[in-house]
Amino acid sequence: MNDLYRVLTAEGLKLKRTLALRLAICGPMIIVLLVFGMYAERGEKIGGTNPLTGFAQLILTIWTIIMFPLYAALVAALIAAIEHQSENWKHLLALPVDRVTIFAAKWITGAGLLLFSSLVLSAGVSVAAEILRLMKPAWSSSPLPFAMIFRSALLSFCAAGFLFSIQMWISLRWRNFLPGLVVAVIALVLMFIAIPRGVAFFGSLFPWSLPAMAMAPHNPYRLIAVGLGLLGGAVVGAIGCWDLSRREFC
Amino acid sequence: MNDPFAIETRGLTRTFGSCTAVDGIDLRVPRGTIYGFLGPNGAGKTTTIRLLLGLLRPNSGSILLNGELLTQKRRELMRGIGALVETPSLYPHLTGQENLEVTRRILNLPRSRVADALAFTGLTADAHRVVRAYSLGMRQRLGLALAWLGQPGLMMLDEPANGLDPAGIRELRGHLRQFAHDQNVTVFLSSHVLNEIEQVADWIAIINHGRLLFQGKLQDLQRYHAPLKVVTDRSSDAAAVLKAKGWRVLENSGDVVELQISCDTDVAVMNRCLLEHGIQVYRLERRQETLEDLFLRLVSTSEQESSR
Repeated sequence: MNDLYRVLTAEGLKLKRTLALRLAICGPMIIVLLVFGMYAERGEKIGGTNPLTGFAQLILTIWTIIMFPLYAALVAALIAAIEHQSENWKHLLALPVDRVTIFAAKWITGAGLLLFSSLVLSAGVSVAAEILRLMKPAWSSSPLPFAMIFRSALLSFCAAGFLFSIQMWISLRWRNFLPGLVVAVIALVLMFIAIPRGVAFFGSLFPWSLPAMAMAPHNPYRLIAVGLGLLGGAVVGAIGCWDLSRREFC
Repeated sequence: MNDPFAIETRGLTRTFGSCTAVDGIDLRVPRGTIYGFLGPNGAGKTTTIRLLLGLLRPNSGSILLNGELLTQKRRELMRGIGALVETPSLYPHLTGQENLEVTRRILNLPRSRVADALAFTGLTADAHRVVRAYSLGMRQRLGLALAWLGQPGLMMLDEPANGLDPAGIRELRGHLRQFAHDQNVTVFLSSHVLNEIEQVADWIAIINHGRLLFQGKLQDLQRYHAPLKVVTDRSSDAAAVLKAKGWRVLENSGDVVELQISCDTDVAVMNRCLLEHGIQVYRLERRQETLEDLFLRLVSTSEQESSR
């Protein structure tokens, strides 16, 4: 455990000045600002009866269905690139630490970034909604479901564990970022084909559709999606760490 | 820890597909020495170092570090090893100080080690610049600092002089001597810059096509592998007799025959052979050769043998 903590603190330092860290803040904030701009400009027309809840749900939907799977692939690729780019594996893997610990720390760092971005998104939505409330006096009585925002973001994050583990494994295994990107894009296309056709149960098993399932409050497969995301993430993560620890990186 | 060798390999072999990069080598690196590991490009030096660090797995053979099998105690053994393999492993977006801090955290070393390593390699003034802005020489020095950070008992340095200017090379020489002679660190130094090795190494090994051609003290290389000059009364007859008896005659000019003899016993046998054929031997001496001459001779002989 001490080893893991030490490697994690080193991984944290490696994130300094990286695109991965900047994206963890900028990624969710771009979505928030985009939808905020729409509501600030045309809120009265698109707001409906409960405009601030609609505002929050629109952001969460865009983030969870489109952005999050791509963002998870990007985070995995950027974290792996820190070692791949300068061929640092030869130094890292020659240190007196179990290799599984080194790869597990990478996984945890990536998951930490995803969690951080989910929290940034939730906080961003809440702050932007309060600003909208100040800008539009007619919305002053519109309730803002803070609990729903944070719960949806966190459940989506948990459900994304499965897809993130797959992306992380691919990114660490191959130096080239293309395999990870190709998998992410194909998976997204498959998800968009599967969900509208009502393949609900298939959807709840498909790693890339799990975050969307987990976000929808009335989805009967919501808890299955969260459980499968966590379990799948842990199993794939464990197999990935074991596989990578046996590989020769030089 | 009482083993006389910091590194010992037995029949170490590693292949990549049909190519044998390291072919059954038996290294013996005495403790507290600077051990020069020489070979032309592609000879198998870096593969050997990667095997010694456990980054690659051998197809056969074993590796003992300080008398312990690497496969059994990798983690404990790695604690005593600092390495610089080819280009230094650095994070270009971090500063020099942060690069060392990453490794310090993993090794759980006192914070003061970072400042010590920076000072030792003369990088204190540039410690807070990002490595992306470092020159090649500065990166190489930071790589050396990284290898030295954990105060290892064994340092494996692969071409550490790459990118260094003459002043940097001289400084590196000083560091290596300081490691070995003041701190009793064993330095396993791989290079193809013969002049560098000649100036610092106590022991050397020469490798080509993955095979170990020589291993021993530098003086022994000179003593056993420099051609033997035989001054006789009839050099043409002497050359003919020696060739007929299967000796490798390299040159025959004037009253001197030069031949390749590695073993002292063979010198006596050869001398007796000439006397039995009525040829007077006036003098036997080794030709004085530089490490470069000896290296090139050994390598070209091995090239000829492998092309046969």
